[in-house]
Amino acid sequence: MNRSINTIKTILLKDITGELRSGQTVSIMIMLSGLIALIFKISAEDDGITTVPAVIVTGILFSAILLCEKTMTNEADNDCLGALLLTCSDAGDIYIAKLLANTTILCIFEIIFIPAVFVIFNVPLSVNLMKLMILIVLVNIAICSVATTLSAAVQDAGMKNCLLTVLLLAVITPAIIPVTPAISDILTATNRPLTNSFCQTVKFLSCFNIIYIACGWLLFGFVIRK
Amino acid sequence: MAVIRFCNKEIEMRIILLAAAALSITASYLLGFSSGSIEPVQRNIIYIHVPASITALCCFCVLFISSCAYLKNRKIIFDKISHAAAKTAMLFTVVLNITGVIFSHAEWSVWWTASPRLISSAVLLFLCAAYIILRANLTEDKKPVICAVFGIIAFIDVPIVFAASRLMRDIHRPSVSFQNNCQTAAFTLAVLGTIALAAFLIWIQTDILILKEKQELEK
Repeated sequence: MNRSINTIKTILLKDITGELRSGQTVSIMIMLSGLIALIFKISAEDDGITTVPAVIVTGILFSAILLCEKTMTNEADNDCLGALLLTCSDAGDIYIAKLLANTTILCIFEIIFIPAVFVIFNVPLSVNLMKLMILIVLVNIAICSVATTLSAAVQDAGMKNCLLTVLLLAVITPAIIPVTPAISDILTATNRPLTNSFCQTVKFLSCFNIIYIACGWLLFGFVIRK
Repeated sequence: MAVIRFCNKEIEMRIILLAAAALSITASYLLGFSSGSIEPVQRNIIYIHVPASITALCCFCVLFISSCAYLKNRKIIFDKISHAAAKTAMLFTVVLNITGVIFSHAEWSVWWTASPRLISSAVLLFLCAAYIILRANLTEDKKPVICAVFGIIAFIDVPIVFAASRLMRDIHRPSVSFQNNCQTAAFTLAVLGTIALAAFLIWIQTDILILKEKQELEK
């Protein structure tokens, strides 16, 4: 157990430190999501507040694809993955570490992205930010739990970037279906108590996350071993 | 001699399966359009639409079971069954979506709307397409394992899609209800016939895929 925790901690710190030092992926993610927000704002007819849930979901989804397609790239050079598998007791540990690293970097990106969307679309600051944060963190975990496995799966494939997008969007759609109306509820019903749609969405996303984290933990070994 | 007898028996079984499928589907349509017709006439597409959806789900089950079996035993036959099941599922989800669009226009005067069941069937189609695209882009050594993993992920997604769709407002009928016994009989025959047809297609596709692989190895 201690060995697993140490392995997860080491890989997690390595990935986050590497990303924070270079800042390559986060800067591209901010650029892409900023452009998405601008395009939505230009095409919105009214003040655009009704399009905010779609902007948030689209921005997070496409940025997560950019982030997750690089998950195993560093390990592909010089057979680092082989060395990593030799040092770790279980491939599941690598999966959990990669999942946590991706989720953390996605959360760091959203600290910049969500306020930027609020500014661009003039969203009042009286919205329930706590509820919004819970929902967004759950969405992040949902996307990363699937994307981490799929990104490792398509590592050796031709057109791997396009493949990850197609596979991830097909699998993640059920998680996205209830999120957009729930964010819309949070943005419009500012001072109401917890709405039914919010509670249902949180329960649904929690189940989705548990199922796909368990699935990824079990299947990751098959994907990365040659 | 024993091999020849086995092959003949296998061919006989396939012919019986195909004949059973053809008979059931023909009987279903004859019965459905004569004594079990539903008004207005476009709604009779239900004899194709609902059996196609049930058969597509059965194909997803076959895909899941054979993917698990491949990961456990590493026998190439299970990989070929998964591939055949995915192709057959793709065929039936295309039929499901096309007939769904026609049914939707007859029932609610819109071609497509964000209804839970319409979204579910569209996602099923995209999952099959994703599996086939993934298969086409992988190297031969990695293909079976990665496709088996994606087959499992795709199957797990199916009930989640249905659960997610239930969180939305639905314009669909809660369940299919028939007015007389002829309609029920026609519907049951259509379901059984379509499942038999899918079984035949998976069987024959698996054999074709194995033969293709043997040919490539011989080259």
